[in-house]
Amino acid sequence: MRKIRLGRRIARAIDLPEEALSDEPCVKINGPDYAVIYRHCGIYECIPERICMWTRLGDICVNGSNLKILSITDDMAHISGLISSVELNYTGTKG
Amino acid sequence: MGSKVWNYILGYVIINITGRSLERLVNQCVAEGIRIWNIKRTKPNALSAYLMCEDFYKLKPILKKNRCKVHILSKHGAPFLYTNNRTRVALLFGLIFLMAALFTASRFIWQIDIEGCVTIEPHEILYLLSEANIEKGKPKSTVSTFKVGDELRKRDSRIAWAGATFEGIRLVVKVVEANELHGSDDVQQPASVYATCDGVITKIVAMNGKPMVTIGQAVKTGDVLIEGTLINEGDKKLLVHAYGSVLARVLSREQFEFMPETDFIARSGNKHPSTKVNLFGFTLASGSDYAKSETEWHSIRELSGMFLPIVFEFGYDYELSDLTVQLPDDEAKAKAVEIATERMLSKTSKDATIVTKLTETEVKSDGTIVVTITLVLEKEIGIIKPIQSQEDAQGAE
Repeated sequence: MRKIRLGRRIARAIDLPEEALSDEPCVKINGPDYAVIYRHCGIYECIPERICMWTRLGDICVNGSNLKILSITDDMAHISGLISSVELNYTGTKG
Repeated sequence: MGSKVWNYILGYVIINITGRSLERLVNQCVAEGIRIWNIKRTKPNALSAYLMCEDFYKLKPILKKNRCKVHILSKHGAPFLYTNNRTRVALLFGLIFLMAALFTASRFIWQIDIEGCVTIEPHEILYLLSEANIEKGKPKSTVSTFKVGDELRKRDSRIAWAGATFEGIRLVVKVVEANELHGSDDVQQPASVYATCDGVITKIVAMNGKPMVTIGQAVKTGDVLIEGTLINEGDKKLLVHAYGSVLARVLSREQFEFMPETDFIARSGNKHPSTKVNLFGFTLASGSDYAKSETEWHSIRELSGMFLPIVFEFGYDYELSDLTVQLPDDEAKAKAVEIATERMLSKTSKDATIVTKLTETEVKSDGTIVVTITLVLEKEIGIIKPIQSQEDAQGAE
């Protein structure tokens, strides 16, 4: 049976941003040196060249240099450093 | 994580965690609600992070579970500042004393600034204030700012309005001078405005009476500028107290002679270093060793990072002596022009505006330097004089 995503439909109907009512991971990048990952499920790799996090749909990896986690809570992580690329490895389930 | 100021107030530590499963440790910290930020991998088996003080003790079971070790690199914040300095009682008392001294000092007047003076000298206003018991060093509570204006107006009729406000430790006194009409004070007495000197009219504003001259017209001393005798339609004469403002361009020329053996005050060549200290408008200067000297200040140094704004000025005292110096021709001419200009300007009234200035220099056969200075001034030339009789009024017409 197809799962009906009400959150997304309601958001579209009342012109709200879809991420406000969805539970999907989101990455926001500000220039080359700041990124925010929303709705993650924990980190599994943290080195200066790469920071990887699990999400509901797969994992998100931020590549670059001098990377560090500025702050982390249970659903949001701020990453800073020289970001060269962001990868989303979609698996459909948590890593 | 959170604001920097709040983190400093509560206190935080920078830690180094060594072990194998560091990412798992971070995830468990986040799950436990431990505030951790600035996480950076320093070595393959170590990372550094910032942690709030109170969360540091919650870390212990997590470290044990993950077989990691922690080492405190540095401690920051108000709690550590207090812990390190709580035995330094003298420092605390010194701080309290300083705050009390600053608070007490701020209750007194340290400086009085006068604004709005044109013809009245600021030191005259200061003298009037001192007569009203308002001077530097007095407590601010003894001064009623709303009464200062009345006190000044009572003591000097040249002041039309005065007001005072406190700006910190400064008392700022604003003064508006009364534009006194030259001549007659009795506004009921019929009067006309007459010219005090020859000139060409540049502006005429008749507040009362009939203007008798126009802009660009040349007038002589004694000419009627604003008539106080008005004739209405029925040929009936009406005498009024005429007044207004009449500006004219006036030529002023004077000659000054300087004999070749004129004495000049010049520097003798001796000098001595001098220092001046300035604090809250009070100046303390090292006295001069010479009977006559002039000081040149060449550098200023302000002490920064101190509570008190202390400014040091450094310069030299140059000894002056009366020398009969035979200056070279060019220098003698320049000096003569300088002195002549100074004398000419001192004779010129303060409310006059200098439009142009011409200087001519001539050296006679006996060496005497003759300096002729011609000034074109723009100034008020009207003076109110009462109309003495009808004959005088007819004569003025």
